Amino acid sequence: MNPKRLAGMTLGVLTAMGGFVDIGDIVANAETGARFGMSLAWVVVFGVLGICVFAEMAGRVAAVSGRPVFDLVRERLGAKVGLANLFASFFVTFLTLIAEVAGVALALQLATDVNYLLWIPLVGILVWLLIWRVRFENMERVFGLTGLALVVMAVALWKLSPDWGDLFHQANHPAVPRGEGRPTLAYFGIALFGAAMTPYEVFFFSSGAVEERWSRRDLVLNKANVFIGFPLGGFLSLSLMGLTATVFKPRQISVDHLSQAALPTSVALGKVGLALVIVGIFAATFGAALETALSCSYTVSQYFGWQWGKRTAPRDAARFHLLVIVALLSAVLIGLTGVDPIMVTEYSIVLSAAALPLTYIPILLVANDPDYMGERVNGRLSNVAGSIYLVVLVVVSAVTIPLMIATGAGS
Amino acid sequence: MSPSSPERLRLGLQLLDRQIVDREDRIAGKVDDLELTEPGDGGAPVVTAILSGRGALAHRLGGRLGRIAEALSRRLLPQETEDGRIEWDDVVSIGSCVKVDRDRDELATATVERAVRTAFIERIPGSGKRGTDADQ
Amino acid sequence: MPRLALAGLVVVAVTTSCVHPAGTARNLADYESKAKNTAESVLSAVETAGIAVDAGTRDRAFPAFVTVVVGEAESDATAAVSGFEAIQPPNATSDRLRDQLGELTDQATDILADTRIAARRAETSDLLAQTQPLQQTAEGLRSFIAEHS
Repeated sequence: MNPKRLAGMTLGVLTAMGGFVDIGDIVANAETGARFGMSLAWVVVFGVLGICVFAEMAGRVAAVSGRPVFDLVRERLGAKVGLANLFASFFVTFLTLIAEVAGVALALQLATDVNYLLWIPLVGILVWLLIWRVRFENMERVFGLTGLALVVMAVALWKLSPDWGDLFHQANHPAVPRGEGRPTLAYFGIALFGAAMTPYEVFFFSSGAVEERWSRRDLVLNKANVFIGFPLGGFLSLSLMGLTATVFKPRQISVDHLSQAALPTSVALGKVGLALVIVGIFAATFGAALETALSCSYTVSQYFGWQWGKRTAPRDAARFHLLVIVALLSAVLIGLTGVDPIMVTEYSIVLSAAALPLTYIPILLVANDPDYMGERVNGRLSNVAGSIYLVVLVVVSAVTIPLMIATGAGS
Repeated sequence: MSPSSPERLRLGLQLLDRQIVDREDRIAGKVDDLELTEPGDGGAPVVTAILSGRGALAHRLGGRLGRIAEALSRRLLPQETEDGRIEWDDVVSIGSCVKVDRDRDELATATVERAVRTAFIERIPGSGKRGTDADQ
Repeated sequence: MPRLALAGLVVVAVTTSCVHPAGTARNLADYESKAKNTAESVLSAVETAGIAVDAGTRDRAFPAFVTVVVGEAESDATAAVSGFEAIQPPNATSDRLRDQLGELTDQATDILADTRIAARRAETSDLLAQTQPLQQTAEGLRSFIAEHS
C-alpha cells in the first residue's frame, strides 16, 4: 500500500472512533455494563458485524458509482417516501448532534471543573470553524488518531485483572439478572444496537468516500477501513462495558454521567490513564460532532441535489454550509437549555434503532443494482448477511417505541 | 445507456430522482419530474424534458404536502428566475447520475444557491477558500 | 403520510417522557418499592463518590475530576431524595418507613456535601476524612435495601 492509500485508512479509523465510539456508545456501554454485566456483550458484537456489512456496501456503492447514501435513499424510495425518510433521519442525526456537542463540553468539564454549559458555545464555534476551514482529510487524521487514546480503557481493564472467567461466562450465558425484567433488558439491548448502527455512520462514511474521490481502486481500502475500524470501535466499547461491569456492578452503582465512564480507568491506571481517557472521550465526541453536523447537511443536500461537501469552497456550496451553521446553532441553543445530555443521548440511540431500516434498505437494494454497480454488485455472502440483518432491523424498529413506552425508557 | 432510446428506460427506476450533473460534472439538482408528450400519430408518450427545481418537486409531491411546500417556497424563497426544464436533447448520458449539457448556473436550482451565497455565506471570511492545504 | 405521523408521535413521546410524573403511591407495597428505589439511587451516588474520593486521596485522579464526580453524585442524591419526599405516604406504617429512610438519606446528602466541599479545596486530609462516613452511610443504605426487597 502506498502512503496515500495508507493515509486513507484514517477515514475508517475516524469513523470507528467518532462514529462507532461516540457519546452514544460510551453512555450505552457504560450503563449496560454497570447494570447487566457482560450479559448484553453479544449485542455489541452483533451490532459491529451489522455496521460492517452495511458500511462496506455503502462504501462500495460510493466508490463505484460516486453516489453517497442519501442519493440512494431518494432514488430508491422516490420523492415522497424519501422526504419522510429525510425528516426521520435528519431528526435522529440532529438529536445525536446535540448529544455529541454536549459530550465534548462534558469532557472539557471533567478536565477543568468548569461547568459544561459554559463550554457548549465554544464547542459549537470550534466545530463550525473546522468544518468551514479545515480540509476533510486533516480533520479525520487529527481526531481519528487522538481518539485512539481510548485504547487506554482496554489497558485499564487488563490492569484491574478482573475475573475473566466470570466476565466471559456472563457474555456466553446471557441471562436476565436478578431483579431485572426482560423488557428492560431488551430495551438496553436495543439501545446498544442503535448505538452500534447509528445511521449517521453510513451517511458520513459514504459521503466521506465521495469527498476523498474513491474509485474502484479503493475497494480494498474500503474493506480494510470497515473491517479494521468498526471492530476496533467495538473492542473499545466492550472494554468500557467490562470496566463498569467490574468496578460498578458489584457496588450497585448505576451510570448516569459521562464522568462515571472515566472513573474506572482512573482507579486502574491513575492520573495518566485518566488524562488519556478524557482526551480520548474528547476526541471521539468531537469527531462525532463534526460527523453529525456534516451528516445533518449531507442528508438534506443529497435529497435535494444541492452542491454538498468540503471539496469546494463554502461559497460554492452555500446551502450546504448554511445548513451546517443552522444545525450547529440550534444544537448549541438546545444544549444550553440545560436538557440532560445523557438523556438526549439515550433517546438519540434508541430512536436511531427505530429508524435503522430507513437507511439500510435502500443501501441493500442499490448494492444489488447492476445499473449502479456493474459487476461490483453484492456477492452472495453480503446478500445473505444483509438480508438477515434486514429482518432484525425491521423487528427492532417495530418493537422499539412500544418497548420504550412500556419500560419507561429503561428506568 | 444511450439517451436516444428513451422508450427503453424504466422511468421510475432509472431516471426519476437521480442526481443531475452539469457539463463540468458539478452537482446540479435532481430529476424531480418528467415532461411527457404524446406524439401526434397516437403512439406511446415520449419524454421531452427533465423538470428540476422546487416547483417541479412540489408538483410531484402533490396533495396537501405539495401545496404547503409550494406556498412556503413562494413566500420564503426568491422566485425561480430560471426555467426548471432541461430539454431531452441536452441529456448526455444516464447512469448513476444524469449528465446534461448545460451549465448549472443556468438551471432552476441555482436561484436559491445564489441568494444564500450573497445573503450569508459570502459575508463570512474565508468563504472563497477551499480549506487549508487543499490540493489546488 | 403515516411515517410523518409516526415521526410526530415520536416527538410527542420524547417530550412527554422527559417530564417526570409527580410521585404517587397507591398502597404500602408501592410506597415501599419507591423507598427502596430511592435508597438504591442514593447508594449509587454514595458509592460513586467513595470511588472518586479513594482515587483522589491516593493521587490517582485530578482534583477537578474528583470535584465533578462528587458534585454530580451529590445532586443525583438530592434529586432522588426530594423526588421521594414529594410522595404522600399512604398510611401510618409508611410514615415510619419515611422517617427511617429520611434519616439515612439526610445523612448521605450531608456527607456528600461535605465531601464536595473537601474535594473542591483539594485537601487530601479533608478528603481522606470522608472515606469512613461514606462507607458507613453506604452500609446503612444497603441494609435498608435488603430489608425492603
